[in-house]
Amino acid sequence: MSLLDIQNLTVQFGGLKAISNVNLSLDAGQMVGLIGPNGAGKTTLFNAITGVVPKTEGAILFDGKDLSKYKPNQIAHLGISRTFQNIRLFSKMTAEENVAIGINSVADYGIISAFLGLPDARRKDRETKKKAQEYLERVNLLPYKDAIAGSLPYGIQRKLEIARAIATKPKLLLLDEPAAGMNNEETLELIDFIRNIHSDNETNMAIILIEHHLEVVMNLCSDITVLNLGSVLKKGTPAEIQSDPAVIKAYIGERRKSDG
Amino acid sequence: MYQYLSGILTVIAINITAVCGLTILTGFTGMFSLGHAGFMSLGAYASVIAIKYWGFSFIPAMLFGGIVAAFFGLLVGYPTMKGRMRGDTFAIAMLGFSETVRLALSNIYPYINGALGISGIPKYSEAWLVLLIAAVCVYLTFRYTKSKHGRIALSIRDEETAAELIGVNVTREKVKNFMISGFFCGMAGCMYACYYTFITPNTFSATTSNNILAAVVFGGMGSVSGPTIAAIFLAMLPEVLRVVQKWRLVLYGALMILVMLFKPEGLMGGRELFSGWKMRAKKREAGK
Repeated sequence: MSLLDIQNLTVQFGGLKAISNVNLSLDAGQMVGLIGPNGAGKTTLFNAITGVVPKTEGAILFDGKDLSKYKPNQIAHLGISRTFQNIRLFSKMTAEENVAIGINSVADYGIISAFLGLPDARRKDRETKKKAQEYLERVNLLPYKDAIAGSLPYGIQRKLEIARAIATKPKLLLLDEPAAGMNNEETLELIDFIRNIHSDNETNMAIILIEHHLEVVMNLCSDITVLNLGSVLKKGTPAEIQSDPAVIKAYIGERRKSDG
Repeated sequence: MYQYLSGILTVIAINITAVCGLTILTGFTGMFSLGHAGFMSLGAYASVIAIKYWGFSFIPAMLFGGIVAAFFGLLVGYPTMKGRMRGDTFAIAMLGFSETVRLALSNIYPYINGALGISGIPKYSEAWLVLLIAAVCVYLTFRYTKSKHGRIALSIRDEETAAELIGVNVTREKVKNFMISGFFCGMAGCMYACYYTFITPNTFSATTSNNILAAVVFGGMGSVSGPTIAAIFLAMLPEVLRVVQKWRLVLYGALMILVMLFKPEGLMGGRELFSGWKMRAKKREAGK
């Protein structure tokens, strides 16, 4: 059985079909690219998977469970984690605290222990702190642990957001345009970074990657799905996608007749 | 003179206790409330009933007042948080809450005499005692905000959507912090009633709510020591300004405008008074 199974998914906002009849499935450990022009419904698809927008029709099954029965925070606990197109870090908190929330999004001791600062609570705080530092070390962000997240350089913030997302130990990681606004050098670094977290992970994490930088997707993903105007235009390997006339048409428009 | 000083100290202690509650809700969870006087009122009435009719002594009555206020916090908090109220909508809803409390209490005659209020409340609030309670409250609040519960609250304030998608149960955390803030304000209400020995439904007005909120914003969002200092400062300022007589409240207002103009992040920003010491302690630890 596949890890994520999206069947005939339709998401409608009023009269606008942001996603119509999309089918997509993904196995554990797989990395899939999701591309398409602006307004194709890529982010909406992420929002539907994470429960932020309700589906109109169809089904999203994750590990055999129907996700429409769960709230966004419960879906996170089932093992889906994501990043955002425009970075959404806890900007006034330190890098370490950001990751710590990912590790423990539900406090593992009661409010009485918290108020009194009981030894048990302090021990658990120390444990989480240690784990958070381990995660930061794994993604080479340990030097920034005490820095306020909002004041970090842009590229670091992107990585920190990914670190926070993987700290929840997801089975499925959704990356929404991680290379947006990056220069070439930073993009290459990010490709390595994503490849590392994907291969390094012992939980066999699957990744769906939305990206406008085609070289990122072509580099990382063996399978690519192209969305256009809310529906699947094409599925295939990078080579197939690159040479497909329909995809080229959707991205750069149709060739004029007179050009041959 | 002693009477005068102990009076000011008591008012300071009451303010600090209420501000501790609101800083958890506003400073850390990011929910602005214009109606926490409602909780003070409920706490005061509940504890006074416990003292006068059921023979409670001061501390149990105060805790009882806090619990009753927290219970109403659950009643009001659950529907508002569940309905995703936030920002200005929530602030106005809270204004409605405190008005509802005021008008409801004005119209209940058995036990509490409606608009006439209750008099002859034993004067339990000794300055040293309430100051001690306030100090304990500050310590507890500080511990709470440094705990995972406090950090989760901060994550909601900073980026609610991200917090939810990472697994934070936003509704539950908000209701929880709302109830805690109600608890502290309920205790403050009891301390107030046992100091003035007389309460009416109008004792805790919109002005009271505004003063607590002002102390939180003035002291700095996401700080405990800042709002505590601000609570002390704002309680003392009208007294200090007595030298200018009838202009004192004008000056009070003008000073607040000036501070917010030149220090919009509040006295402490998001920091604590002792965070400098902590950093040094950390460095020592790292050096070992």
